[in-house]
Amino acid sequence: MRKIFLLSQNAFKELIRRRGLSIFFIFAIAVIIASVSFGFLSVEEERKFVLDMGLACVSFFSVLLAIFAAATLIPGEVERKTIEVLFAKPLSRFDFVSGKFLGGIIFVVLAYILMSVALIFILAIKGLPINTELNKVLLIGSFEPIVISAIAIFASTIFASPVVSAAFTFFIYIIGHLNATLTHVSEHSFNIFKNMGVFLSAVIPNLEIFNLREALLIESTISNFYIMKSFLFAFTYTIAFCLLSGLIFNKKEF
Amino acid sequence: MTQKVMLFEIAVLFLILGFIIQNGLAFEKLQLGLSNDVALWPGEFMTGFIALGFKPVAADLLWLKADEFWHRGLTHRILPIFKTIALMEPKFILAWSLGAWHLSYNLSAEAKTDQEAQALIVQGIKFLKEGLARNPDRYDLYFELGWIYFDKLKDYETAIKYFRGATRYPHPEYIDRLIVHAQEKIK
Repeated sequence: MRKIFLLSQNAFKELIRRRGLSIFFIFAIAVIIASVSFGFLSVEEERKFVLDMGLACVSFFSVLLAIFAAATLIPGEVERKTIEVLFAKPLSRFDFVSGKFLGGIIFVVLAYILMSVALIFILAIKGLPINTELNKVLLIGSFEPIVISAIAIFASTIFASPVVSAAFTFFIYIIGHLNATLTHVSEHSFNIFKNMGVFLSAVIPNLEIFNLREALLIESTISNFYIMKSFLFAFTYTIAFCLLSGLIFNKKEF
Repeated sequence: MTQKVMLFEIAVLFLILGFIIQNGLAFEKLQLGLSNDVALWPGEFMTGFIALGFKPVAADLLWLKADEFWHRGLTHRILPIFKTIALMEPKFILAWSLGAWHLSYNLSAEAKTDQEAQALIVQGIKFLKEGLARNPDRYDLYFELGWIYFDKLKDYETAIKYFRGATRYPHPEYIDRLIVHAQEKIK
């Protein structure tokens, strides 16, 4: 356990030092803050606009950070050949993958929290209402970059190039958001497409589950049970992809 | 080897478990009154794909454009924008009601003939009915429909039908009074 913790600490420090990721983060915060410019609208419109812009930024940029952080962690070690030094020590490959994954998750979750705080800060400055439903939407939304991190780590164990891993994860992200459509279309297709669609919709998580922004628009109440279930959903997919990553990485030769 | 097989089996088990939870959550999301994530309207799939998570932001920007056209007196340009906004954010009630208001009131007032005006009012009603199909569990669009029948078409029986539809959901008190007004008009 200590080894995983040390590796995650190392991975986290490595991600913090990357300028590319910092630019994404700073850009996201800047866009959230820029939403103060909607001051010329009515209160109702302004709240909707600030929330739409802020929540979209928090969600999208946290996913981008998750993809670029997690997809580059393992290939980076392979490229620099530091992985050979690490494996010369008593360190299992599962520990290595878990440590990298944990470091990536801590980084992404921290970025997500900071972006959410920026959004709440803007709402507070503008005197716009901040209710518990907004906090729930933000909490559920935070599960998405975690699942995406797991998928990115999984992709980085398959592909040697971090660019290919990032692109693969990004496609999964898009299909994940169109999962319901994929299921619906495949249900009305021929046998082979039907089976393929059902398989893909089972393997690729439906990421729209974490998107509850519309609940703020129609003022519906999100139950704690939904939060718990969505956490469980994120947890099962994360564990599954981590296990698969470990298994694939175990077979690799360096 | 056995340990690896076991780990693979656990991963598959977790995927199956996740899939089961996912289906339950998708159903619960519908129960919350949120829109169905299935994109079937023409263009809906592509707008969702292109805008990614920024679909509501794109709708907001279009809203600003519609506002600009309105203040410049270019009412006829607003309609396609409202239709697009409604397509992007079907739960945004104001887009449906304002779009219908522009059709049935502003554009029909500018019409050159009575027939043209009538056709625009009917278009407004059609637009509201599309919105109602997407938001059947809120009073707003039932009321808007009822009001056009009441105020514009003087079809009080149909107006009562829609006002009554509105009263099935949490609604303001004036809708109950409007039903009585419409009944008086029929007498």
